[in-house]
Amino acid sequence: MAARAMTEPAFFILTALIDAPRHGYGIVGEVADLSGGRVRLKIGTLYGVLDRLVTDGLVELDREEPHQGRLRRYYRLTDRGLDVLTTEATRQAANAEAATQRLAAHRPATTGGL
Amino acid sequence: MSSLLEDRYRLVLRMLPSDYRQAWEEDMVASFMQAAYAAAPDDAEGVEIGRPSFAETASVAALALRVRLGGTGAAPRPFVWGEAVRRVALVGLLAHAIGALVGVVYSIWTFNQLDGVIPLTGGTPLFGSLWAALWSLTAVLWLPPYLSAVHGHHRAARILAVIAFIPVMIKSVIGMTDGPGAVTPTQVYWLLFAALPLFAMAAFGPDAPRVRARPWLIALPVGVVAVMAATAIVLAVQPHVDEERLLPLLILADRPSLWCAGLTGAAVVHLSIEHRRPRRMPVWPLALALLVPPVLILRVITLVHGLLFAGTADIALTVTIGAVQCAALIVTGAMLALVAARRLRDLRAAAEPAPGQTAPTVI
Repeated sequence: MAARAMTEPAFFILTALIDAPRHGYGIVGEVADLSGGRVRLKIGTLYGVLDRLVTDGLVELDREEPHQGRLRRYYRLTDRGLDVLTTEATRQAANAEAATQRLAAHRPATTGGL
Repeated sequence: MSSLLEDRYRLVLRMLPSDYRQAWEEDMVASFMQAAYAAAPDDAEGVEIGRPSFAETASVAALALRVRLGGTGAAPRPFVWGEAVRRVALVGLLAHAIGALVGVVYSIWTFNQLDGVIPLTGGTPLFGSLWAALWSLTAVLWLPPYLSAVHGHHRAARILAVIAFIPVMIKSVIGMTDGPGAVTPTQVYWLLFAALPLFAMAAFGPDAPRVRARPWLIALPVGVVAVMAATAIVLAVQPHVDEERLLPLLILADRPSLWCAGLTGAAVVHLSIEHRRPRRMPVWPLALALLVPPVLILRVITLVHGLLFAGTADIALTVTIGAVQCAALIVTGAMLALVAARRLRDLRAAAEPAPGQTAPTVI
């Protein structure tokens, strides 16, 4: 598989599955919470990303449970998914740290100039 | 018993391929219905007679497009479809870019400003004022999206193509509203045909593989020379042809004819070499087959429009030329479609046991 940059929805979906397996709607709610309401996944978007994560082996089916006459599928993070998310989180943290340091160094000069 | 909302959502999901629906439909419906009830907890009955929102429908449509037109890492069949549609987009952008460059060269030529080149006595200037000249140069806006797409800047290419299309749209709308008669099907279809690469560029998603730039960069000057040669031949012959016989000559070298000739030629070349490469993915046969219907409609619609202005002596010859062009397109198009369909069927059979390349299934 060719290396692809992780999209924001994929990042949040993987993050939503760290602590517990979740079903589709549960993931939508958790992603909204994690992003402070900024990322509100549509169902089509969720399953497009979920399909890709399952195909890439980052997420897998945990169990199926009946709920109000329907079978709800719960998904969990795989070990590979955890590794990939860890790498991505580290990368993003390093990027953020670099930007924060530059901003901190730049801010006094800018503030003083005003 | 299912609710009206569920039935309507399942109808929306029919945009997805059947194997995809088999794997995901029930789960998608369950999540969608749960989200719908959660959005209006005190109005369950109202929810059940509602419709999926535009945003939800659009997300499914976008998913259907991504699933059917795959990029790197997709299953072989969607990958071939994705590649074929990406080729359609590139061919369309190439044609626009060639048309733009030919227009510039032709304009300069008609003003006898090419030193050492024979003056183009048969040609008429494309523009009569500075503003008209500048306006005609907006066609050159098609070059940046073409070069961006060829060099792998897909997002930039999509944005630049939309910008390049704006003058085309303005020109078409002015042409439709400024004339004495009503809007003609020819005008409307030309606009849709010009927009074809824009639609096809939807296949340039984040997973779209890089294009091999070199052949596409060579195709640009080659196309310009070929089209200029065809134009020059017609202009050289034109003074020696009776006015009554002019229309068949012009129809032989108009843009739909150039499309027919180019597409038929490419089809013949590919059909003649395809049998030597039976294991190759049928990207080009499929791309060329996809181009045949829009070009065929363009030929028919412009031919019918041209006949309205034909003298009685022209009609038989004009119709014969058009019929030959259409027949050649239909025959080669059918052969390309057969080759593509057979190879796609073989791909599905070969892909089924391949790990990591299967249709989406949840383990």
